[in-house]
Amino acid sequence: MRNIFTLFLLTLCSFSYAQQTPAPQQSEAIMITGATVHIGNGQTILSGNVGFENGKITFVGDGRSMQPSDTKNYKIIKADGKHVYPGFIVPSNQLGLVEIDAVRSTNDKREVGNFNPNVRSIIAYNTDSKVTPTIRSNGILLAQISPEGGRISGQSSIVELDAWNWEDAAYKADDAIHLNWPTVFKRRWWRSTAPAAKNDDYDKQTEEINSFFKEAYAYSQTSASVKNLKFEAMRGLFDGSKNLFVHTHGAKEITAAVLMLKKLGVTPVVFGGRDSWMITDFLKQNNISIILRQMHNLPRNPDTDIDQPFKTPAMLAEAGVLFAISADQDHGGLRNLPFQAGHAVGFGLSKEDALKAITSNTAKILKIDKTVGSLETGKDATLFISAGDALDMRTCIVEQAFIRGKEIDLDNKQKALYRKFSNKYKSK
Amino acid sequence: MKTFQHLFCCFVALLFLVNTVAAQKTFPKNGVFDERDGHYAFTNATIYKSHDQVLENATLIIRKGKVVQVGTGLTIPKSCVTIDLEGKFIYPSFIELHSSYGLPENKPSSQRGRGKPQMLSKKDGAYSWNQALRSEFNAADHFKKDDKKAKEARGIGFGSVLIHDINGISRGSSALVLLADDVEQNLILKGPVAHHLSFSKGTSSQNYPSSLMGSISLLKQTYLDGEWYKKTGHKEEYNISLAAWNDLQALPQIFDVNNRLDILRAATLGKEFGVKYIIKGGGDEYQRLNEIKASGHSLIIPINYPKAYDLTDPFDAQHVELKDLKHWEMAPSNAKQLAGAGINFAITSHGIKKKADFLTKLRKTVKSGLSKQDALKALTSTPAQLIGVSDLIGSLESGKIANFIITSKDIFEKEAKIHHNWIKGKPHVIKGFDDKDLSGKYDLKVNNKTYDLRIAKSKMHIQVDDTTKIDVKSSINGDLVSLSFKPQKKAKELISLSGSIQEKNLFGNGTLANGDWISWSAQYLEAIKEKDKKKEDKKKEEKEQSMGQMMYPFLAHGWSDKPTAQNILFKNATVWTNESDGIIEKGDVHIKDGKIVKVGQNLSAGGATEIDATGKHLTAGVIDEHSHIAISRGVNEGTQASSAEVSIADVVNSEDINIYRQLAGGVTTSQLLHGSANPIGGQSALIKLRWGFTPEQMKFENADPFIKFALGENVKQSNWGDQSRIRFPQTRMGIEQVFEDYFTRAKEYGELKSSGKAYRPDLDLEAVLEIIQGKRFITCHSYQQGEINMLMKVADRHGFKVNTFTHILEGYKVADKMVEHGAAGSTFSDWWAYKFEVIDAIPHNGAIMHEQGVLTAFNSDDAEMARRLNQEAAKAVLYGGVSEEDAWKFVTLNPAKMLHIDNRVGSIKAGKDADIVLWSDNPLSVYANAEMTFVDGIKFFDRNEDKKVREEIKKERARLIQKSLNAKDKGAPTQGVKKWQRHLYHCDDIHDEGAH
Repeated sequence: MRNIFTLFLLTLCSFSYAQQTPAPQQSEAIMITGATVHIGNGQTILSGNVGFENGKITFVGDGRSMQPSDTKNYKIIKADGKHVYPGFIVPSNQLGLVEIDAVRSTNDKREVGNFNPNVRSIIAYNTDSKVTPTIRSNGILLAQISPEGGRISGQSSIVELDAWNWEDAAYKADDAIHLNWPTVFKRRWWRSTAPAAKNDDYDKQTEEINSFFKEAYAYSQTSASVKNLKFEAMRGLFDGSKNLFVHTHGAKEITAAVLMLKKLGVTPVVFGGRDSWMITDFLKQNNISIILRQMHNLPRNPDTDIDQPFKTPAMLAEAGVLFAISADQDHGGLRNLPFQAGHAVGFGLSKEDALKAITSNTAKILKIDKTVGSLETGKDATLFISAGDALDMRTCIVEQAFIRGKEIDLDNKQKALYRKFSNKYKSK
Repeated sequence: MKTFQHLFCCFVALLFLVNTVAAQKTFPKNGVFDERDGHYAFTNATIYKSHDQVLENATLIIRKGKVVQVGTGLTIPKSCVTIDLEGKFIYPSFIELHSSYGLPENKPSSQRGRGKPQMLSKKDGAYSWNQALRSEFNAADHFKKDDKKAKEARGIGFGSVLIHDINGISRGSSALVLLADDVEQNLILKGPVAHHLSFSKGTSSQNYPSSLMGSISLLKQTYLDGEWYKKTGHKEEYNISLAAWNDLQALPQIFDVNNRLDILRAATLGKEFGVKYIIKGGGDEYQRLNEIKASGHSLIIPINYPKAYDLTDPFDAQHVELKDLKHWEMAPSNAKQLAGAGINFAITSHGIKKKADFLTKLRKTVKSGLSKQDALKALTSTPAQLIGVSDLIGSLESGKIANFIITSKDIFEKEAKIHHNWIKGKPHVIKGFDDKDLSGKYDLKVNNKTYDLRIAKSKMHIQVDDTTKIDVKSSINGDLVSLSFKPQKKAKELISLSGSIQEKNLFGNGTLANGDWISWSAQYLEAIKEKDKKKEDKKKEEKEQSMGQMMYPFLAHGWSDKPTAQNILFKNATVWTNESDGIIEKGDVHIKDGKIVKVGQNLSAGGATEIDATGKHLTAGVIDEHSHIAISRGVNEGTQASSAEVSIADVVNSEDINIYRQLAGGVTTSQLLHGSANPIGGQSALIKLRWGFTPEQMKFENADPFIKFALGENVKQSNWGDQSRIRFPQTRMGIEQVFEDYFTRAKEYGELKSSGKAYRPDLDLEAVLEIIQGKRFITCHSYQQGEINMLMKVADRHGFKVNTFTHILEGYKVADKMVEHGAAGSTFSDWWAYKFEVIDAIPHNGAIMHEQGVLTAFNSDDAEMARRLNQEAAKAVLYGGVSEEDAWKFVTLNPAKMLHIDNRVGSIKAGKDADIVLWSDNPLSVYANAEMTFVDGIKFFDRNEDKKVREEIKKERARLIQKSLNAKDKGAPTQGVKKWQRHLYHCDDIHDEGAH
């Protein structure tokens, strides 16, 4: 009964507000001119032009050297004094898998069971979530949607944040398997005020991972007559077609995970990475990239430098570790991704490195850098125009955004409510 | 003489058996009358008559369980059994004040925290409504001796023990019992001795209180109820617990707490109700020594010092916190510091798991600087004095009970043994007088061979060469000795010898492996020389004794030198005044004696330190209207629909690292709110982030009192699972009725109160009455417009204003109504989608409310986010286009106005408090950092100095980690690393203040 009630309310809401209609294919060539172009690879072009046609970037360069004849086939968008950025990418999150955390019927984040590599997030990804349009209106145009919980949560997919249905949204389906590494210390009941002792099951838990991967590998070497869905799903890890994300924070855990997984023939991406700054040499030696999800976490304990989470990106950059930044918030807060990257700038990271951490580096780590993540000729025209610096909330005013050249609707439910009630008071 | 002692032991044992069940006067006698005098003289001993009176070569005479005489040159009556104690020591036996010896064991309630809520006590009968109030419990009624435990306690020098049931908030009364082996009728020295209290509800399965502040409120209300019951209440109800509570008030009041801050809390409570407690602390008193001294309470302190940490794995070592390392180092000096400060204290053995370790810990205490005299005092005369039994025990004066111990040497010296523990004139042998110390080197001659036999601490081995030893199995029993060993290291056959001890030498017979019967001897040669290494160790140890500095609070990033208000002139800053002057470019601000003295341009101030703030921004400190940091043990007392009686002010935790972290984000004032688990929550505390100060010193002086209200899903327990379907209200309809009911009742209560008739003071209704009277102000957790409107209407009907709606995510829908009512809105910048009632939340909420004239603020409700409220303010610029100047006020002046403190803080204006922040950039920029944060002109944060602090933390950690590693290396027992989790409170967090 309650479920029906909730459904009814949700339905009611969807009628009350404007729906964002997915954009049609790019029909004409577009040239954005006169903007500060942030390539996403560390370079910027002042007074730059970006041209794109049929969803692909056809030109990136200094606009001042262009002749009118060079741009005659393009529809011109004048962006003098404005900024152009590659679409931001937010890795591993549950956008579209959950609408309202506290309402169970809207929550598809976690499946039952401990080892679920066969579980696929893509089919549960709700393209009609009311949250998504609020995310993309801050310049986030791609997201990696992953299940959570258990030891192996399942498989993520990378989606574009403008689509009619999940098939349509899928940019790279089943791109990675997500493994939650056990913790060296017990997790205490959250109400507990006593300190946590060592996790006595740690060795057992890591051994479970070890043997699961070993069996999966052995299975992958044959074409099994009796299919095992879990092991079928793992095949991609051993032929390199899938990423393995290992979710872990501690230095000891990261080290143990990398060493074990490498022995099993898999080079993981470390997601979380709170303590990665402590072991940068190890990470480099083993060619490990990090996706930080810790910017807005508190430091580990009172002894830790108070700004450790803020300065970790700069320390990784300094050490030459390939890293990206993920938004350290639930789905509703993913729109703060650019500001979390921007926050690292006040603690030693360069602005363009901060941008890389949410564009080209992310694309590299997600293995989609051939087509997105930077503004380069031949890549997807997934980009946006901001009135000002998009990493600073004072100036992140996204005016137009394109996903593969399609100009998306930047309106959202929240803006509609803003208009509705502003108008109420105006008319009073 | 020796022979006598030997015989004496047998005699003692015999006496013991005969006498145990003999003397119960009221009992019928089965057999022949056998009353004895127990007349003894102990001669030639060093006697501690009391902790500060020592007699050499003295005599103690006892008779019928009492001390007759102590002195030198006494004439010993012929009827005495004389015991020569030459070289030995006599002390009054120790008194334990914190124990549940002989009382039934308590099993923790397994149900608590799960299952359906339990609103009332499950104890049958006319007792208190609350299961944790057990004043009626009388320890003497439940006492049953426990031979095993008594023997343990006697073995470490205790003769009597004050027992109470360590369970509950009022734990009833204690009894003073002897640790002898006798019938209970003879063991209980004194009936109700003291009233025992705590903040911990023990095994009570009832929900209330679920938080520390709830426990404190329950005690306050019980003090009031006791008075009421005495006057008129007893006519209205028969309440065994309250009657007992009243009876117990005349006794000493002993309060059991776990840490230094709880000592201060108990002291504050005692002050309010005119009670001086004896407080049993946690052993960390040195961390707040001055305040504890100032409170004037006597203490009972444990000496269960933490073990060293096993830090061999550097990864694990990362998780050990500086505070724990330092406490490991400093805890043994706690007693010394208390004595130095002149605090009256007793020592308890409570908390020491292996009782046999007590003397080791006691000696460690003395080694760490407590004088022997003070140590003895803390175990004898002080405990006796504290519970008012100095006429019975605590010293060896004529007429007092003959409770004393006989030791081989000064008891505080290493390896001193307790021979006897006499209780009420009856002996208990711990270690006989005749146990020989055979330590030394011997020539062991067996079958024409000579072995190098060495005996140390009654363990024997044969030294073959420098590196090879052969173990010798041995036993010494009185004058008899037996040993067996292999003649060579790898030999299979054994030589077995037995013999006797004569003077220092051993003689006897034995058998060889081949069965030959032989004679043997071991001639004493010399003492085993201590190696020089030991001296080196000692030197090293002494060096290690030097400890690191104290820090306030006792946490990394605490300061060791108290910071003071500075005289500073900031030059050429961009000054965000929040006043009509707006933003002054190239502005100067002078602060002195904690106040802002002057604001303008081209100022000069003689004597002031100038800070060149060119390119920087100077603002008023950030004020967080909704915070849950710095709170001890529970943010919600959400067990009932109203918990207006509880107050966060009672549980401010000055030792929260988030205070410092938030100073680094420019926060200077925070309102610490009760959670949102019930419609009428608890009273809030307003603090300034005076890092390192005590809870009392952190409180914002003379601020108007506030109280938390809440609406919606948390209050209805919508997301608490199927068990939570019992507490009223479960719907928004019910929430309105809770308010309507409370305000109606509070009004009636107020009328009764002012009528002069007798009434029962009710802390819950008092707080609600204050709201109606305009003396207390509401901050109400709220989301949806309907209920926001509802509360304003309730307030209108009862003639008061809702001061602030906090969260207020749908404030934008009723901004006009809020303006009309006069309510302010303190919201989140952009949170949504976490529960159904925030489905219509929009980040433009602040902008619309502000536009419509609602006094608008952004708050954190989150320890992490509060570190960057400046960035949150900037979101009002992004979503809804609020001007930068106005957006900045969302986190400074506007919350100051809501909290009625804008006369003191919130803007940069001459005369206001110097609560200011120097930023590296425009404070609304994501790139800006707070470089310096001042509260009352005191610089509590400086980003450059913080870098030095880091180095100091690193150095101090390294020193202590080395010290731990050395300790482990030398064989000290260690404990594994544990990782503290600091739970960060949010509105809907339920804590459970259970048994510790």
